[in-house]
Amino acid sequence: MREKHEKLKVYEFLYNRLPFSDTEKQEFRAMQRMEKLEARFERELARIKTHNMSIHWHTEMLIDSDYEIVNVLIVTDYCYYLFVLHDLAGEFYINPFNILCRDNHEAALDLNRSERIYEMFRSQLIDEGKYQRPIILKYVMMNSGFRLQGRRSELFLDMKNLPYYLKAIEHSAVIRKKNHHPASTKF
Amino acid sequence: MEGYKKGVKCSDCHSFDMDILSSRLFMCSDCGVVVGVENQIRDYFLHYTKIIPDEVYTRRDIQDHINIGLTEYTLQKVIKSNFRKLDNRERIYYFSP
Ligand SMILES: [Zn+2]
Repeated sequence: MREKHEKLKVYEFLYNRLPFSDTEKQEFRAMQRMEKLEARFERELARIKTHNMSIHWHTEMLIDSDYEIVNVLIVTDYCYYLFVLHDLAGEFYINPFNILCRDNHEAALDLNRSERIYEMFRSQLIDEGKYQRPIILKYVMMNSGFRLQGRRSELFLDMKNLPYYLKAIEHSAVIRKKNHHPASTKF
Repeated sequence: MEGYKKGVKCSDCHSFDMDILSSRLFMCSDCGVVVGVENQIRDYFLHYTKIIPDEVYTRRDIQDHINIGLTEYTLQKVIKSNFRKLDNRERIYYFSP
């Protein structure tokens, strides 16, 4: 069961009761947006069987003096899946420097950061024994108005494909459990 | 907290314009959301005591915090199910749901 972020609860309680600074307002709005995205993801997750998985919500980490959020971490006996949720809408392309840009060339997302997130987890999620579970990181584009032109990226997962992706995780978690010795989940 | 505004507010649109629909229900007059009186008040004090713990309240303080004219009966019920009397102090309560 997912718990609403404590800080968001405090913001919600204090909103309209105390004056918020611009930074606080901005942070509050960002957290509300994240909450909506996570609630939506949770609804998708409710459609699959999750008893062979452990699910961890909303991890924030400091990477090069900026915070990155991994909204969902799904752990099965055979893989770690990291999901970062985004609600970007409009036409985008990926430039040669691996920056996701809007069609007016405004930078929206530095995709090089995904490497850093990956490395961070790679250094943390060490399995005991011979089998090291792979880590898969996906940026889930939750807004159906998101369009990517030109070069594609394996990193992105469209909202419309999320149900199939989760179903596949469910399926692999079950089937592999039958045929293999499960690796120990040390997390 | 200086400038802090007391009162039960709508959890959806943050309006303080809550009407008493019945002894058990509030309705937000801005967005129409209907919520249970007791839940809403308990939520208020749960959050408030997280920010200001160990506060004690007189009956009047509790009324001020809720800031909606509850009937005597409802107020009594709310106090009974959410507050305990401070030892040896007849009219001083602390929040203990
Ligand atoms: Zn409302």
